[in-house]
Amino acid sequence: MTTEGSEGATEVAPAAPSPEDPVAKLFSDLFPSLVRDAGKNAAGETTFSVPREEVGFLLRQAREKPELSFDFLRCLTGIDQEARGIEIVYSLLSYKNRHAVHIKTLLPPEDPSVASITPIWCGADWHERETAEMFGVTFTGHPNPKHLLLDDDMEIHPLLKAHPLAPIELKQGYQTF
Amino acid sequence: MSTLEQEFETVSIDINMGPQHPSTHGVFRMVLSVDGELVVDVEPVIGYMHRGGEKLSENLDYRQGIGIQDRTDYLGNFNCEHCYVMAAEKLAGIVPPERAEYIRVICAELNRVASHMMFMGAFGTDVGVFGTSFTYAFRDREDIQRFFEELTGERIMYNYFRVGGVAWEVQNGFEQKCRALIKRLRRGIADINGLLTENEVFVARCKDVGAISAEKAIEYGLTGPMLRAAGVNYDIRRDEPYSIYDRFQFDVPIGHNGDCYDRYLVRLEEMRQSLRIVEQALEQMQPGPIMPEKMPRMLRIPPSECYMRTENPRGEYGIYLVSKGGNKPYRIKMRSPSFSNLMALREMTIGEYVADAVIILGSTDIVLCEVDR
Repeated sequence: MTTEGSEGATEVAPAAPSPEDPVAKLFSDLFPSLVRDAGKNAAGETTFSVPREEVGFLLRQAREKPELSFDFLRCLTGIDQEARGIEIVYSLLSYKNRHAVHIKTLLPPEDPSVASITPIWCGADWHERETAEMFGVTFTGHPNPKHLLLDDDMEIHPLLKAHPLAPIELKQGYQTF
Repeated sequence: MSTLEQEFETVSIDINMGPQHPSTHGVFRMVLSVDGELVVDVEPVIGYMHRGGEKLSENLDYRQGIGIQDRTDYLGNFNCEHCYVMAAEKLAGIVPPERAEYIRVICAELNRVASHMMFMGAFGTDVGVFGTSFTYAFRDREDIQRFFEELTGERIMYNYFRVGGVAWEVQNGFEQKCRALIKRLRRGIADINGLLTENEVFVARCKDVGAISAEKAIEYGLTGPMLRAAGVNYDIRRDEPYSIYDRFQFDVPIGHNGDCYDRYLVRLEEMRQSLRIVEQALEQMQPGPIMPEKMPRMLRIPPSECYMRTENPRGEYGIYLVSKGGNKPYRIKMRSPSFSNLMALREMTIGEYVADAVIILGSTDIVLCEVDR
């Protein structure tokens, strides 16, 4: 788990990246300048951050390098870290090597954009479209950047913390009493 | 080239299917571009059932959030609840008592059988066995639902699991009733097997239809029976065991061709294996507490995060849970299996006949509530 020295957030989950963690070691050996804040989340899985400019490169390597061979993108999600920006989490699993990793990247609030990874996994398509509309993130190079779950003319980003619950319901036309 | 083809230029036609269509298994729309009888393109349109379950969960506490999980996958409710409570337990550092774990596994596995029964009924109808498969499958599904109703008081939205255990002790005679249920279900599965597996219409319409290769299946993120039908030997219950699944003996059925028929066979065998697990769980279950001794009235979770996954009837159901302290999750992402499985619809349908589009959609066994959340 990484919190990158943010104010207010305290680290409770197992913090110190153990040198025995084989997955973190694989990545930090291959890309020593990119891997930051390696650690483990509460479920004991490796997590680390990368600069957003390098996401496309690193994920392609993660898929193609035989010792990594993360062939399955199991989850892609955004987390609104408010003042720090939007954090994108790529959760990967390797069927071949049977290891898992969560790779994070932080998008600054003034320019929340990151390279699309649809060229690497076509299964990222809908995940990116959903994250884009829910958080107002731009995935540059996405082949079909349309709304997925929301109406086409909806300009809101519901999963941002700044977006309160009620106006969504008002927009959808529900009666409030 | 014949003169006919030279003279007439063919144009593909767009056919709109849904959102209200009996074969789309919910509120789902697909736009098929057809060239004669062949599908040249498909555009799935989802979002009609989007209720903002993730946003709602962020505004409910950990106990209330279990209700949202029931409404995510209404055919695999216990499996979704299981994932959610396990994620919260993982963050809070709570270890549920043994008995609660066994009750959860029994519920989740019976729920898997009920869900696959629904698939058998609906899929048979899609293929052309019409009402018969529904009659047989629903007789048994109803049986399971009656059992769950007695246990939880609800037919569908069970809301029975709790962070730390389960809500209340099982009813009197739970074990005998469960064993009798397994016996009836075994007969029911044999009935379905007799009705569909070698049915000539069924085989002719499913074999080699909607096939997907193992590589493509992995790239699209297919999970569950869809992935195993394509030949990938992976089951989260066995390969990343959660709860107490490492204590049971069961086989993981694998397909070879990744077509609709293999998906059906994998699900059929999975039902049998689930019953095996339930039997072993009944055997091993001991009396004891169903909640840990010291549970706070209001659960507060320290700042931490984790990704928890379970093997749902439809595939990998994952919850990415982030807590920043307090009694509500800061962020909860539900990674639903139908969502990824449906993404591959385009890949599977292009090049097939338009009449098979419904069968391919049926064989993915989607729940639209889970796709849209």
